[in-house]
Amino acid sequence: VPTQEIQKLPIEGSVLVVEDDELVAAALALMLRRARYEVLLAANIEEGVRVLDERSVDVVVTDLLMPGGTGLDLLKQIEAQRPDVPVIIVTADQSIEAAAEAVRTRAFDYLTKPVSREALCRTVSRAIETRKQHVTKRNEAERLKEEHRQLAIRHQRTAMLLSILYNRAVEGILVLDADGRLVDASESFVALVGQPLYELLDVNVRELFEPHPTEGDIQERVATLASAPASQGHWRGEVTVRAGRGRRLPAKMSLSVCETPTVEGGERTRYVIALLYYETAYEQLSRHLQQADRLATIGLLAGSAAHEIKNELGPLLGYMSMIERGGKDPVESGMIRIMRESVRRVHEHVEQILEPLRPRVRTRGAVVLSESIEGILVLLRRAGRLRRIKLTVDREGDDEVVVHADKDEVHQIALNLITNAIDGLGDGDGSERGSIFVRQWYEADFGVLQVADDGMGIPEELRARVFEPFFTTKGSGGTGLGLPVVHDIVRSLRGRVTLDSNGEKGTVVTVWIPRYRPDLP
Amino acid sequence: VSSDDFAGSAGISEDLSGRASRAERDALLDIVAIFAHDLSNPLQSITVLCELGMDDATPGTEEHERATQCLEAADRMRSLIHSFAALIRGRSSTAPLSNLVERVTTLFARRFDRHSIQTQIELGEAAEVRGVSGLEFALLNLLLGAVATASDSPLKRYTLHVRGGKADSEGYRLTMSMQGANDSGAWQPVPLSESHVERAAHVLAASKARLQVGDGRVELFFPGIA
Repeated sequence: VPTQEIQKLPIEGSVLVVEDDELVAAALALMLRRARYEVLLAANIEEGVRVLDERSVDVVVTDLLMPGGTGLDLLKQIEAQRPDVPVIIVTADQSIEAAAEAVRTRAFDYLTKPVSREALCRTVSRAIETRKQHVTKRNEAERLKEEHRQLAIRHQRTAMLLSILYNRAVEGILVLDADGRLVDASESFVALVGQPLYELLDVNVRELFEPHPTEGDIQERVATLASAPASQGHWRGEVTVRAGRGRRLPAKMSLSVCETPTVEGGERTRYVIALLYYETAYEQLSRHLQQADRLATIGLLAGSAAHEIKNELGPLLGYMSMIERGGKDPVESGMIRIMRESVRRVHEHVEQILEPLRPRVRTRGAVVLSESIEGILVLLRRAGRLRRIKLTVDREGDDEVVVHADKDEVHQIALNLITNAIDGLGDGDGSERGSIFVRQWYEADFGVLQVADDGMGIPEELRARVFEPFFTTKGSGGTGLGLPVVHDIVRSLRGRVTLDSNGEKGTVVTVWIPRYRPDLP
Repeated sequence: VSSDDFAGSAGISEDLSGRASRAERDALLDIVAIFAHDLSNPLQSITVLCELGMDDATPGTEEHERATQCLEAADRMRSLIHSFAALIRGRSSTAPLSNLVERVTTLFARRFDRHSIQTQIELGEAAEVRGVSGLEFALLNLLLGAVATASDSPLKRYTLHVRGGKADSEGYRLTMSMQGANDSGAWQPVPLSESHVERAAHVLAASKARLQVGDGRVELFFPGIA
């Protein structure tokens, strides 16, 4: 390559030449500059060290024997302070001892004078390349170290956030193993269940939830999910948490399969993560609505009961006056027995009014529909609410319809539907008010209760609003809670409710409640 | 003077003569060493200038021809100096082969560690054979070549095999080869750095030993000096 062309090439690197012989130094400098290296010259060790302090140098080429110190002394200093700078010894000393010492002191290479241009340039080039590799490796190591530090910080932050999420989230988080046993649970769930975490660990998940009437066993669902392909490893549904103090809290649940990251030599472990969105707002509202509905029922019953009590009090007052006047012997004449019977009936009426106010624990299980209906009809009949009404109670098949619910829930559903039907009939202008049909049957996994009347019906424009709380078609006589409460209870039972009404031909309300399955735990 | 006295005087004389001869030889070698050292520096300068002169001259011209002749002369002087150097090194190269190999490999212990080079040395019946002039320096260059290869190669670890044995009825052979393993642990032959092998060959040129390269290994043949 012509000299002029070489001069246009980029600099290959910087070389410090430490050589006390001026002629040799000049010759080596010429040779290296021609090969496109920047050359710095030093006549002895002291100068060499100074250059190294002031300038960035890629490689050092040093003579061995020099005044003021040998090339090996310089090599040792560089090795101690700048170990990434390679040192090439170029010496006229032909002895094996000098070469051995240079190698022992970790000289990059050892060349004996006179060295050819090719040999020196090849060695310098290799030294620079090796240094570049070392620097790259060192930078890479530093980058990895910094990356590791940053990752550690991020990991720490993520772990902290996860811990906050896990333990402070309002939602419940459950970690289940592939068999459906609890591996871990977030604090909100532990607090809801009201048991310490250590008692919950390894517990079968089915023990933490109410058996689902239609979805099957949740434990089996988890196990199925854990063994399914990743694309099918999700499920969403509704569950009822067995919360502390006998509470039953509806919640939306999502199940997702996750696997532990693959660690070299280790096996993946599958877990099922359950996220629970508690329907606390629903529970509170529903509780309030049901309470208000019960109070409304009390008001409703109180009016009728007062009439009955008044009927009982009239004869009582009469008998008491007779006793005061001192006529017949009250015991022998049977007055006391009649009076006691009247007082007992008054007490019964008062008990009936107070019954809905008594606190109770809801326990879902088998409820026979006909028994609830019969109890309600007795109540209504006694309150005089069924006068001039033709009532038909019908059941398909010989078997009783048994549903999975709480007895009070079914009572409230049936009571609200039948009183609504009564109110829908109108007063009949003193004659027959109309007919009410109460029907029960089984349909798939549900027990069905249907209450129909042939009254005035609900206008189409109002039909969509009858399940809204406090909306009523009865004017000041209604509370607007009957159907909303029915809807809420049925929803919490995982059932459904429909209303059909076509103008003047009456109203049909049908409720599907999950049937009782004795085979479910 | 008795015959014993004569014999004793003759012995002393011989002893003195031998010691004087060795002293003269040592002094001569010292002079050779100084001579070789002092010649090397100017010769270095001449060599470089000749090479640059050749670069600058147009091939085929008289200037280029002169520069070429100068460089040839410098090369001949370099050969002479290397021959002198071989004489100097001959003083310390008659140790058993096992000692030489151990001494040289020990020098490289740290560097071999750094480059993940393991050594496997089996000298067999060549272990006790005396080395030849320049052998230690040649071995030094070959091991430098192993380090150079390892620093240039992307492989993860290496094994350097040094094996000795009888070559023929009179001589011995020392074989040096290197293998490297990649990430997956597969081994492959790795030739020693060519420039370092050349240097070793150059060092041995003036000795009775012969260096041969083939099949990724270096073989040194040398006569056994018991």
